[in-house]
Order: sequence, then structure tokens, then C-alpha cells
Amino acid sequence: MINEESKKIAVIGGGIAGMQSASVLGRLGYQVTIFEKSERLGGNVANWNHLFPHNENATDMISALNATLESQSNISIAPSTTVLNIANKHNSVSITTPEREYSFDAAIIASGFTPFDATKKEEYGYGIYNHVITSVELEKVEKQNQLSRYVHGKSGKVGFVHCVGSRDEKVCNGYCSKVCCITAIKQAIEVKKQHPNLDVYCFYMDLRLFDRHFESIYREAQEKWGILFIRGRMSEVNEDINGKLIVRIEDTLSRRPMKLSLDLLVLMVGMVPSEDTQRFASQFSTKSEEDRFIIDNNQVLVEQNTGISKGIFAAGTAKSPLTVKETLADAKSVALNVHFYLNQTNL
Amino acid sequence: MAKFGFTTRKDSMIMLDKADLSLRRTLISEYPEYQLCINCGACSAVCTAAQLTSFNIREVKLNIDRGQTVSLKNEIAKCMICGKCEMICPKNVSNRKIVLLINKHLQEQHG
Repeated sequence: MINEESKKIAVIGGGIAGMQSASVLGRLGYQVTIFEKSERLGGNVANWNHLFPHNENATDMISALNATLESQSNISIAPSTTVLNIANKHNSVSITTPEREYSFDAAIIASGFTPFDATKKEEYGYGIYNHVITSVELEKVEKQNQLSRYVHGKSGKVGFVHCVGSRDEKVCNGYCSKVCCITAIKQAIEVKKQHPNLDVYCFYMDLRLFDRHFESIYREAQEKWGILFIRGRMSEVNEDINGKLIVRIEDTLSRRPMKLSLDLLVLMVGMVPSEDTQRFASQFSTKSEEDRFIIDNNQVLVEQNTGISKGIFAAGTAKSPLTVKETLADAKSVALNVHFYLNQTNL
Repeated sequence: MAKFGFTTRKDSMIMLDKADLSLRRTLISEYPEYQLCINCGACSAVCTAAQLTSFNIREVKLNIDRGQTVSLKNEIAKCMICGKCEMICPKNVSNRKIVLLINKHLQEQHG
């Protein structure tokens, strides 16, 4: 690319949204710096084992993204660096870290989400009973091939609770986290694949299988794997004298309260804006909104290359819960918006 | 005319056009949050009365929404107004308040 070598762009957050937008802007010839709070890139996806809908290996995906960054000398990475402040200054954006202040031409906030803290739903017994784990932990368990720590023998029952920390005003998260329905079905299939003798249940309020292939995965779960779907929101979890979990739910379709025992309960934790996302949201979002994500100009019919503030853009799950596929697409489109923005200011 | 002993049975269909939805309207006007229910069943799962009797508060409300209120008085009498349903509701709907409003309505109607 011709004139852009001198233009500098900061990307705050080294998850997949940050990596993808940096990669695109790097290919467009800009000088890109990724500020990542932790030691490594990859964010939440790096904790994942396999990705829906095609069971791709998450580590491979991160490595592929990483390779595109490493192959470009105009992309630099600042790991273990917290961004304390982002501010507009005339035609530039200043980024403050604990060490120093930098000046950039534009910035992308890709500070993402954190998984919902399941201890806030005390009635589900997370942190109290050993056999209640989160969906994030299940991915880790699968990665380390340690599912047998929780289920063994020739029979047993595993349950997946949808909407933990989502669509729940009691924990101030009224929104739907979008990915948990399909993740629960994906994980239910994975558990059943490894232990075909187990009974696997999904406890759901509504199944939101909105994207391509999701409905057919649901069908596969029913038809091929015999996953049992029970419509109702679990009310509480207890442990009996033998260490079995006893759960209560209304089976809303047969209209009766129900009780059953389980050997393992997986809580499908929703997405909560990360601490940094919440901080930037309160700084830049013009309207206050309850969900604490960054508000983008999300009307359909507006000019696309506007950021949340002059020269400052937001990408990925800092704006709302998204799937991996959606995050990558959004990051690419935001990167292009930055490109258009910088070329406009050139004129 | 020959009689074969056949009779017509009352239709089990809910005729929503003809349903009496006045109680639903009253409840909404006094407590708009009444409309927020997503039928997740968390309320009836924690309900003590539901474990001991056939009481199902979610179903009672759904029946009101369909104008099916014939057995309402008997059903609502099973509620102990303990408020556990209100604590668990993800939409922050107070079933306790709704039950009290229904009772008030029943009293006004039937004394």
C-alpha cells in the first residue's frame, strides 16, 4: 500500500477480534500495535477446545491468526500491557499505559467479554458442589481429556443448564448471550460421544439456534445421540448423602414439577462485558444502557465508517455477545471502517 | 329418526375470539409486569404448594391469558403466598402480587 505506512493504529485487546482487525489493517499497510492485558493472545477462545458448528480446533484457529500477525513486520504486540486511558486529541488518539503515553491515528477497542461468574447463582451450587462446573471448565476438562474425573462406570447422567447469567434480571443481565444454546448442544454431543452410555440432558427455556448449521446440529443431537431436552428453568441444585446432585425443575411441557439426580451438572455461563469493556463503555457510550456493553452506531441505515468517538472504534464482543464467526466478520468490517476513516481524514 | 346413541361432545378447543380476557386486562392495568412471563417454570419448580398439590402458578396465569378461569378460585386457594416464586423469577415478576390481585378480583366478583 502506498501512503499509509506512517498511519498508526492501536488495537486494545488481543482476543480474536483484536487479532483479526490487526491482521486486516496490517495487510492494508498500517502500523498496528496490539495492547494485550495478559501474557498471551487469543483471549477467551484460547480456553476453548473445539468450536461450533464444524468442531474446528480452537488452538489451531488461534495459531493461524497468530501466524498472519507474525508474518507482518508492521504489526507489533505489547503483551502484559493494560491500557489505562483512551482519549481523542485533535486528529489523534492518545493511549495511556502504566509506562507511557502513545499517540495513534485511530484506535480499535476490542476488550471483549468475561464469562459470567457462576457463584452469583448460588442456587446452582457452583463452588459448593464439586460436580457442578461451568461450560468454560468443561472445555478445559475436554482439552486435558479428563472427563472421567466426573463421570465413570457404565451409566450416569449429565445435565446442561442453559441461560446461566443470561436473560436473568436477578443478576442484572437481561440480555441473551446467544452462543450458549448451540454450545450446550455441542458439548452435550461431545460428552455423549465419549461416554455413549450416559444419559445427557439439556435444560432450556428457549432454544435459540439462529445460525446456519445450528438447527441440524440440534437434530443430530436428538436423532443420532439421543440427547434429552427438557423445557424449564432449573430452580435449585442439592447434593444427596451419596454425593449425587439432585436438581429441581418444572417440566413446563408436561406441566409438573420434577426432580432428578445427576452425576455432573454443566452451567452454560453467559457473556458479561469484561471490566475494561465496562470502563470504556461508560466513557464512550453516549446513551447509558443497562447491559454495560459498548454501544456502537448499530442502526442499519447509517453511514458505516463512523466509530464510537472520533478515531475510536469498537470491535467484537465488547459490543455484544457474538459467535466466533460473527466476531471475525465484525473485526474485519471494523478494520475496513478504520481504513475508510483514515483515508477520509487524508482528504 | 333412528337413534344410535351418538351425541356431540363439547369442543375442547380454546376459542380465543370469544374468550373472556377481562381478568388478564385488569391484572395488566394494575401490574404491567404481569406480561413479562417467558414460561420458564422456575416459579412452579420452587413452589412448595406445587410439590404437595396440583397447583401450578405458571399454568394458572397462562389459563387466565386464554380466558380459562372456571377453576381459578379453587386453584388460587392452594397458593400459600410464601413468595419463593418471586425470588427466583428471572424477569423479576412478583407472582405473590399477582395472586393477591387475583384474590382481590375474586372477592369483588364473588364476595
